[in-house]
Amino acid sequence: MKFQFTVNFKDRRTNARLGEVLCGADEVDGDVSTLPTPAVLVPTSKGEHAVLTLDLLANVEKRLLSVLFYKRGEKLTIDETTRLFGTVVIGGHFVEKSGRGLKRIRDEEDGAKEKAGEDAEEERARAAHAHAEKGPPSQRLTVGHYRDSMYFGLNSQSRAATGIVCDTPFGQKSMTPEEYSRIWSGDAHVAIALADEHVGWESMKKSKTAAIRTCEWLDVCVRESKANDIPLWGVVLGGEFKDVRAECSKKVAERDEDLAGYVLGGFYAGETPSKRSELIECVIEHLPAQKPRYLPGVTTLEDIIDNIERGVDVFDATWASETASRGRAFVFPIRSEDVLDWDEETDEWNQPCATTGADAYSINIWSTAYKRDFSPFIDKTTRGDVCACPACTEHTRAYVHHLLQAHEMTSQVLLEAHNLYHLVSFFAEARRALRDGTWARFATFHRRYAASSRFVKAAATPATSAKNNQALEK
Amino acid sequence: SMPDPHGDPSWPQRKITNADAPPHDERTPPLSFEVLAVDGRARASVLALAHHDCRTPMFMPVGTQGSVKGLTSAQLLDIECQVVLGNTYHLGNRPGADVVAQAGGLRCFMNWPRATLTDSGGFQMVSLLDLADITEEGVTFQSPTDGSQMLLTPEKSIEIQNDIGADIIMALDDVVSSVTADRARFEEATHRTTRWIDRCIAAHKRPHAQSLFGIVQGGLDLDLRDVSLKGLLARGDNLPGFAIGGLAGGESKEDFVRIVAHCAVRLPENKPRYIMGVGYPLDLVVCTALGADMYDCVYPSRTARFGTALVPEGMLRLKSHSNENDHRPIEAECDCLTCKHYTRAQLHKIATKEPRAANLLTIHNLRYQMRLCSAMHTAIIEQRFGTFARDFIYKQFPSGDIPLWVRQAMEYAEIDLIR
Repeated sequence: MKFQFTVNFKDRRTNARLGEVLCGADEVDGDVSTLPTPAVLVPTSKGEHAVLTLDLLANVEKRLLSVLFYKRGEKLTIDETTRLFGTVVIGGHFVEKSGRGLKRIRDEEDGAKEKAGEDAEEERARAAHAHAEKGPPSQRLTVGHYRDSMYFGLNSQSRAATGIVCDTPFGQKSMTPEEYSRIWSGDAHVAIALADEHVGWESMKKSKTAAIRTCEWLDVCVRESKANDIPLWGVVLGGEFKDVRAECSKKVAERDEDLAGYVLGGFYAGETPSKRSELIECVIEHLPAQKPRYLPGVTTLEDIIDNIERGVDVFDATWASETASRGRAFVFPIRSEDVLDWDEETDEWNQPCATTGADAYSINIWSTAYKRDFSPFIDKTTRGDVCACPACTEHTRAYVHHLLQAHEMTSQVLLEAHNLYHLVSFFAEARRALRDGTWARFATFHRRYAASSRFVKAAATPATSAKNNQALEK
Repeated sequence: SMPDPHGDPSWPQRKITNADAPPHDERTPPLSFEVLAVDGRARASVLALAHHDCRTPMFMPVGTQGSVKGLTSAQLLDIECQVVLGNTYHLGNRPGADVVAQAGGLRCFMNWPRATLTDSGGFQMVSLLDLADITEEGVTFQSPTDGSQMLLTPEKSIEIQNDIGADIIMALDDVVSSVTADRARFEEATHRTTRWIDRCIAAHKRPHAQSLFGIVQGGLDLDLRDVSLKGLLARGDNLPGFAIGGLAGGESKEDFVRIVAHCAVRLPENKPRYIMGVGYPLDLVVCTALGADMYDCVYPSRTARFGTALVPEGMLRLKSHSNENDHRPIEAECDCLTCKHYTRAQLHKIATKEPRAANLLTIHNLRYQMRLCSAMHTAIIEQRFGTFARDFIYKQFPSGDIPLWVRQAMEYAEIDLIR
């Protein structure tokens, strides 16, 4: 498996960087893909996007590539190898039935070590053959993870010293680092080391134990990664405690020559939000600059902006899927030019709407307000930019509203396609701003937008009330 | 070599509007049917509708509530679907005929550039019988969701269908479950269907744009069927096409074949013949042999959601353990997305478990039906339909244990089953 990361450009004022991941199947020359960073990974279920079939996923990417090429293409290098998002696949989803998989490996470990070595070799060979028959993985960067951000249950009771408990198609199973590492041959370009990830409010003592255990498991994962020839990303934990975080980060960074990247684990797991920023900064401080950093679980735009500025390269797109599963479509502006006549004072256009459940980032398509709304999710009259996703180009709010009310699955297909397109489009714009030197303007705009969307209006003056009443009467 | 989203006409569908439809001359009927070739009783034809020229035999996927479950309109185009069905009762309830009309009709509402057909709501008399009260005036349905009542009269059904705007609309018929033991009820339904057809014809406000099909009823009694046929044919000037209804319920396949064989050839040769609720691939071949042209059924899409794929040999249950290490596609000759990119082993892992699996199998099953109909069309034109049917049947029954109903049908069709 080929995996390579290069940092091409560093922002002057922040720690943000533009990079590129090159990945592909080793055997075939030229069969590689390029993923520009900061980038986003799409969540999957059993190796692929839960809802969107191959054609739709490719359609979303193709449309966005075309739009970028035609509208903003001058400084972008786009060719057939360019990808706009990667995928994160979950170890637990690939666990085989106990007859052949975990149980057998565990029995081998319990038995004679030499025999275990040979059988493990055989197991790997058989797995590799089976995977080879399936064909090479998609050329989209595929990162193997233990944490399923869509359904992540941080169950601290079932953590054992020997591994973690994860959801598999055959129920909950505990997995040791060895068992986990062997899942990845042929399925991923990069594997994330197994870590003892825990809830964010865990005590200092438990956070320390988990961090130490994680480093021990890292050694195991490094060994397995060399045997399986899969590049490895090390995970830094530490809970809410700066010193534990720093210590863990340094320890993991010591393994730098065996690692292809780093994961900031255990965030967005219930820790105190106000502490999160300094914890992330503290971890990154000790990580080498030339390797990619992945921060799973980030949801809000502000956080994405903040973390890009801290030097995070890879995020995940869970927010897009979560928003779609609630029947909501992203409508947030991507560039300041997308906002027409934005008056921060009155800000009528940006106000959350109690009657439809809209907020500044998405609209609630369940609302009966959309029953006869034959405009697309992102409507040219309220935004300066047209959305070229399959849902907006081909369908309307009224149609998707109807599909939701009728409990038709196509509603999820269209919402997921749109939300993914929009989020990936945001990342593309972030990269463009970094490249063009307009990052400060881009970041400021989004921070102001986020702040104004939470701004609680003071008691209405007569002037404001009159304007509001007029809007209601329309 | 990037496609231009703004200049390229093949760029994936922008939204269609009624303005895209060809300008229509009110004097010409919106349907024309030309039989290109006949082989035995089987016909290969072109059914030209305002929004698409269809080749028959033709299978029409069912999009009851305005979508074929899980698929987008673009995906339906990819599998070369020609006509999509919508349902008057369901769409009339939700979102309501007025919303669909305001969108510009069902085709604009679901952005389906080709043709559409709406069922009248008649079948709901059977499927929702517990919630239905049938009188001469019409059917009163009680909504299962909020208990509200809808009185579906022939006039109301046609009115909703006029609003939905499908190319082909169906008359409201008095449908009785084919396993009803009550002959009196069948008689009543047969005569009422004829009386209702007059009301449907009178209520139809858009005969220049939408074609009304009459439906032959009469249960499993050939005499009643003849009564129904006679009534329909007498009104032939107002009925551009005909359907055979009241089947595909719980009746025996032998009865099914008997009725289809009897009715199909008694319907005019120069008009399309639609058998409602059919069906399985084998049913399509048998009914085509007996002289039918159009079919609709939820089976291919429904069975897909339960993990079953249609293959020439019959059915492939992907959840079966035998597929666990089978690295072949569902069908090697199939050109659908699923067969091009997935193996049985991969589908085995996700069938019935992942939302996308339902879509992948639906895509295959519907594509299978489209390819089957296309193959029948070609075979009829090339005057080898008998061989085609025989080969198809033996593929499904390789040991020669062909069911009685299939053998009876081939007798009617004068297709020799001896190898």
